[in-house]
Amino acid sequence: MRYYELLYIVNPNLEDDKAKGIIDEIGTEISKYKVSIINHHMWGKKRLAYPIKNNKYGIYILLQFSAEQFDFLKEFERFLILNKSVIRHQIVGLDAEPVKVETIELIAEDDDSTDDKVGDLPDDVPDIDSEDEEDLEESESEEEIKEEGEK
Amino acid sequence: MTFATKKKYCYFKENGITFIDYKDVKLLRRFVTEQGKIIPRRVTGSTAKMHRQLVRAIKQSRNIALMPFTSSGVDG
Repeated sequence: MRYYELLYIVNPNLEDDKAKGIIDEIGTEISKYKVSIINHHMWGKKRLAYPIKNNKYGIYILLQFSAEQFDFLKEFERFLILNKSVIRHQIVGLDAEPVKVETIELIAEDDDSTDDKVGDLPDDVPDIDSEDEEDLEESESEEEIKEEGEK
Repeated sequence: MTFATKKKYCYFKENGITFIDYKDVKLLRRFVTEQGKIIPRRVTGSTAKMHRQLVRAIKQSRNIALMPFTSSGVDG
């Protein structure tokens, strides 16, 4: 028994009903094989980190399932590629059993303003150049002092 | 000239993280530069084991457009 996770992006121009239709479509497709679905829910519309097929946004849908055998994955991935509404997908094997989520929380669309926050960096990760720059500044000031002394 | 060596700690060890999820973009953002490059282990101080996991998570995250391959200013 192994656990898998499929995260796929659906065309954002689809209406909500159609996007839900795709969830059903993929749900029925995967249930043809010997799998048991643990989670299958929508994350909501999110901004993509880079455009895919000229789409700036995408509807993220997460599907977690367990399967006895994995030979069907190739066939299932082919189905995903041929499905024109799915613009990107990724299947990842999981080490541990995923937690079943009952209440679905839609992830809020992240604004650009929060993206540019620099304050997120931890204190224990120094910049690569920071030390060198400090040294340069120190040496420069020392030189200035020397020059002034000479004058 | 002597350098004041600042002891580096593994972020994951400090916080008791044993598994890095590629969907956790907020965490992964800490370990990439503004351009989206992965920060080397010698800078972050992560253990080799966790760094391998981290790199894998970042790459998976890039693949599904949660994180950028590159982001350089205007259209990134």
